[in-house]
Amino acid sequence: MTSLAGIQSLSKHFNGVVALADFSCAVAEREILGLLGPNGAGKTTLFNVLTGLLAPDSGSASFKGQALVGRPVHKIANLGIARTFQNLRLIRRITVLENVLLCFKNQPGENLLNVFFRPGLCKRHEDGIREKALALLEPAGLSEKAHDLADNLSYGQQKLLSIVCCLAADADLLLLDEPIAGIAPEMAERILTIIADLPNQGKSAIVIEHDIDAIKGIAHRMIFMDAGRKICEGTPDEVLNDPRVIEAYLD
Amino acid sequence: MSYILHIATIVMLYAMLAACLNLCSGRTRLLALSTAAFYGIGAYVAAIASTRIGASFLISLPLAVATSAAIALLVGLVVMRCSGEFFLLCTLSINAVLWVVANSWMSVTRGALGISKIPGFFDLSNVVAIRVTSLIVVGVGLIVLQLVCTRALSSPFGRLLWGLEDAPIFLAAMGKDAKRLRLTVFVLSAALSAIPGVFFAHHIGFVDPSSFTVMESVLCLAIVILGGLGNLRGGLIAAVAVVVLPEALRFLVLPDASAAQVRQIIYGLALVACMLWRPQGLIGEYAFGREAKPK
Repeated sequence: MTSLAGIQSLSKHFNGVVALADFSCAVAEREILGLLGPNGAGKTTLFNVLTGLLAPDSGSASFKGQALVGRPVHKIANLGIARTFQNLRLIRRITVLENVLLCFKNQPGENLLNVFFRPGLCKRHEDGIREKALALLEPAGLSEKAHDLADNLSYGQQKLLSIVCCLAADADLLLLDEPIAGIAPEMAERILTIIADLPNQGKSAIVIEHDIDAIKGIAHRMIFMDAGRKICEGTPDEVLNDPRVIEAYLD
Repeated sequence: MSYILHIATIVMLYAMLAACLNLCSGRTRLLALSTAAFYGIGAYVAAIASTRIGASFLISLPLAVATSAAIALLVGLVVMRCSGEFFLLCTLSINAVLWVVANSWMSVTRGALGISKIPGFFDLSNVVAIRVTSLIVVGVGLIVLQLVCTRALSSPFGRLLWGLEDAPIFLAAMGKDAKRLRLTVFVLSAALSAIPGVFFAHHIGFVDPSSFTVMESVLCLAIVILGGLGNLRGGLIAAVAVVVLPEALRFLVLPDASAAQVRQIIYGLALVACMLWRPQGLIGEYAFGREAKPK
């Protein structure tokens, strides 16, 4: 497997609290990497550093051979990294469909010159992405909700929507922050199916999740981290049978 | 007759300003208080171009839009880094600074004396004919401006505006450059605000700094909020209400001395009432159906 993203000795402190300490790992193409660890282990910090929301104290990260550290958030996203947030950040005043439409890359209609001088081009592109957006909402079970305000969705549906948004952005690497935490089982099932299908579409994902049974079923590889450090790494079985992991989760 | 035509023209000027401001502040809720500054730039460009080199309004229009856009781009480099109340204060200070420039740059703006003898849109002598042509020219301008704003808002560009203040991190995480978006919408709004400025100069025939104070920007913002943020049609109706109401109050039998204050009181009450009972704007509900839904 070829490497898609690499992380080399990332460190990050917040006022003396260690969030990441010399953390390294790699993600291969078409790989789902499960990220486990107790609260405060630095999992979300890792996502924030990778997406450019936080600058690390030291270390580097690369994606498809391009350095990530120091690049603005939107440029990192445009390299092909999309993420979801624990506290979902969708635009609540617009419809579900509009949220998805907004996430498509390189829309000619985002440039006002095209809007006024090449309306045909904008219209064709818009029609194209509208069709794609509806096709993406279908397997997520959100088709009927397409014209509802995002605010009117249940928590689980909003989580689904944020994953659909990542798919619309056509990212090669998805960073999913607790995609099934706190939602109904059937909704979780749907989300897991979508995640498990990502490698078939040529995509990779790093998934933060506390639900061990769920993550075991979809992850190819797992990393367990605590206090910003990588404690162990391997196949789901290896990691889940590691005494340090058992100890951390039984505590 | 002439008075009614004049009021109708003024209503349309404010409707144009409201449409421009709505682009920047409506959907985004990024409230700007610099409308009058760019309105003023448009008016001064037209005043200077027509009195010094005899330019017609058709020449002043592109000139004013370009000047306004250039200045907006310059200050926008600072403004685009701000959001929320910082944006508000930043734009307010732009208005304050440009007002001082208009007051002090005697050789160009003639300061508080203002620039007078600005010709009308066309060389006419009949008062009613002048008013009617003003009304028609401004009306055409208003329609074109509304179309431009509608088109901009209904595009993918307009869609991004929803997230600019509400979900900037979501926008960035989806690869959209929020700073650039903020700059673009600010410059567009400012450039278009110069158009009613040009019309104002030719319609009134006189410009001085008192027409472009911060209070004028506040009034424009009040119109936009009253009409419903992001609602272009609401802005039109609110412009009518805000301009016609005080004019209509002139006909109330009030002692002249207190008339102005009473008008301000009614204004204030109307705005407070709107905030209490129609926070989504006068017709927000009907036009979008998304602002007003009770949770």
